[in-house]
Amino acid sequence: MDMESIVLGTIPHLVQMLCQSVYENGGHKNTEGFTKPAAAFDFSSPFKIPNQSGRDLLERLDEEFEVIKIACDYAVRAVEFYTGQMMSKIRAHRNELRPIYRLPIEILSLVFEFTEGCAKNSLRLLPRRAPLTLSQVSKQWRELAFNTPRLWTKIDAMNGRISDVFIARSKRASLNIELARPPKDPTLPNIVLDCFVWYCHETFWDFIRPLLPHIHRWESLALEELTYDDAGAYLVHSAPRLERLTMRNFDGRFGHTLPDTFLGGCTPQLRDLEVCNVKLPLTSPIYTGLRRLHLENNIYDISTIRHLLVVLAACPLLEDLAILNEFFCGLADSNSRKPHTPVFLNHLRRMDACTEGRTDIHDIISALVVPPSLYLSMSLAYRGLAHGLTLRDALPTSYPNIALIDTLALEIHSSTANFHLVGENAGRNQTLLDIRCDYRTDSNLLTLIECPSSFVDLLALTPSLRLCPLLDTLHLGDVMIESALPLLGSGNLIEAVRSRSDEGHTFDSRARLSHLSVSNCAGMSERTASELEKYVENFTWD
Amino acid sequence: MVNLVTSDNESFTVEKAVASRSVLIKNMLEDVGESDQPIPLPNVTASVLKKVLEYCDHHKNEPMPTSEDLAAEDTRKRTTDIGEWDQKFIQVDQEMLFEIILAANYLDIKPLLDVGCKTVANMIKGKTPEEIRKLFNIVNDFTPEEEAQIKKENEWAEDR
Repeated sequence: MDMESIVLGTIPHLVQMLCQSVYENGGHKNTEGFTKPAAAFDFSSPFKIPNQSGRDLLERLDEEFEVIKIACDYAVRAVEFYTGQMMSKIRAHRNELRPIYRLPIEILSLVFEFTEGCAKNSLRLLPRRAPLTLSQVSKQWRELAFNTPRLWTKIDAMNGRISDVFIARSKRASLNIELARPPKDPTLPNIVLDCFVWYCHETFWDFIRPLLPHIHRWESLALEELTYDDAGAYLVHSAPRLERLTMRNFDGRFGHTLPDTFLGGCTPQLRDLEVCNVKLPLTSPIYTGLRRLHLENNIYDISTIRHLLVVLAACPLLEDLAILNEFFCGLADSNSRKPHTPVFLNHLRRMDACTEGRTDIHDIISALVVPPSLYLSMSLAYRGLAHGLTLRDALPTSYPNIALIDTLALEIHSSTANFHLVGENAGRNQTLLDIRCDYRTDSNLLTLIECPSSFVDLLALTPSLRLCPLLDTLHLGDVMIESALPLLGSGNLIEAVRSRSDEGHTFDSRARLSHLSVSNCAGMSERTASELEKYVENFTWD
Repeated sequence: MVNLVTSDNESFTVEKAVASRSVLIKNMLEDVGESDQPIPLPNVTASVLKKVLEYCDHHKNEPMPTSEDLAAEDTRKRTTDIGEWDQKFIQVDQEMLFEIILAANYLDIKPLLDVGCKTVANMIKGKTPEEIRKLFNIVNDFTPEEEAQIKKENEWAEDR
């Protein structure tokens, strides 16, 4: 009879008999009486080990010892295995009676997905990170976690070292890869940042190597602070299922740029692209078929606005466009002076633009044909206006959504030195236009054309209102000055100019208005002009 | 108005707009047309239905989730944020929480199901397996072999 047959017949019987005895003697409430089992065993040799001829007694005793040891180990393992299984079953049955186990598997699976997907999960130490924790709670949870491949698809700096485990458990599900700098949060353990820095700056190859054979499964890829050398060397194969790509703050010497071979130049499913402070030429073929494009803080050595318009034309289903602090260095050629060919973006729902005093953005806007329901948000930094450009130059010359705007509100915040223009469609309760302009108090040139006289009123320096204290040159055109005159006699324009002269520099000794030109302004009189001449060096009036 | 009858035979008369937050009830109402017949809900007790109707009443004027919303399921699963009112509403004991989730699932009220599942997810997140067991009063039911495997897994986890 082999050992397995012996234990199959005897161990369950032995254990059940012992259990019954425990119950009968109330031992499950008091285990003290069971610490010394079977003290009265008969230790006379019961074994029938064949006596092989030619062996002496010493060898036989050694052999008997080994045989008893093997039998003991096997018996112990068999008892442990049998009782382990039994105890596991009983505990599993107990768990089934708990309220959480009443949730069907599909709902528990949803709970797991929420737990894994929550924002901070990827920043947790592995012993506290789903799905690793979920898979170690109980048999049912472990089985469910292992049968939900989507739980294992996120690979990042924290789990990068065991990415092979995640890759295996994710089976064929699409992978989401993220190597991003963790947020500044004092509650985060230092190791979170250390892991990011290690993989990103030291050994990107170690991170990406296990993932490259699965590039056909990549669904999203986010990379931050990577070097151009690493990105150019290792990310050269096409990613056929990649839908989202985010690249931020790549590290490289001046002149570094991502090559055309980046991701094999082939990402046919790419719909969401975010490029921030990374040189990815606008001529790259991956700018195709996008639904969301976010460009921020990029300087294009050779790309021009015309290249960007070609990119946009290749994304006719684009819904969300952000162009923030972009700088197009391309030299103006004869083509760049021609009007741009219209680019039809019939699905564009939102456009965000941010510029520091360049006129590029309105060249782009004027070339786009977009739905009137577009939400246009712009942020203009007036401080950047240089080379004779005025705020008017930086603002778009036309607004594609103007037809639907029926309510326009202008707010001027002297405390934060900005103005805010909001356009709404009241009927739809929909905001369509949101322009914020940081006009900065260090502006030294201001042009006001066709604006209310109350704008001029605001220029008077007072203890509580100090708009543009460094104003050097003021141009007024088609402004109704007359309306202010009856209130203050010589008028608020005079007061504004006087407050910025030697005579009125009570509030800021730096404030000196040197140049004033007034053109076609109703209400201007000889008397007002002679007053104004007293306070500025150069005054012109027509 | 719609008359709903629970498993413990209690009747609730509610506005159609409230009852129709449940896709199950909405479909039933569409199938039977205008009728005074009570709608039996054999899987929901009165105490749970009362809570569910409180939720439906608060959200009765909100648009129903569209197929587009359901298509954005992935995004939905990436956040465990819960609105302020919903957070207060779902502050119940565990037993009731699971009953609400089960009722939302049966009645097909997706937003309420999400609120319930997110609440459970928020309870779980950041906890070790032992803490999770304690939270739900469940026990370690692994066999010694599975335990050994988990211990081995934790060796790589504990390096971090």
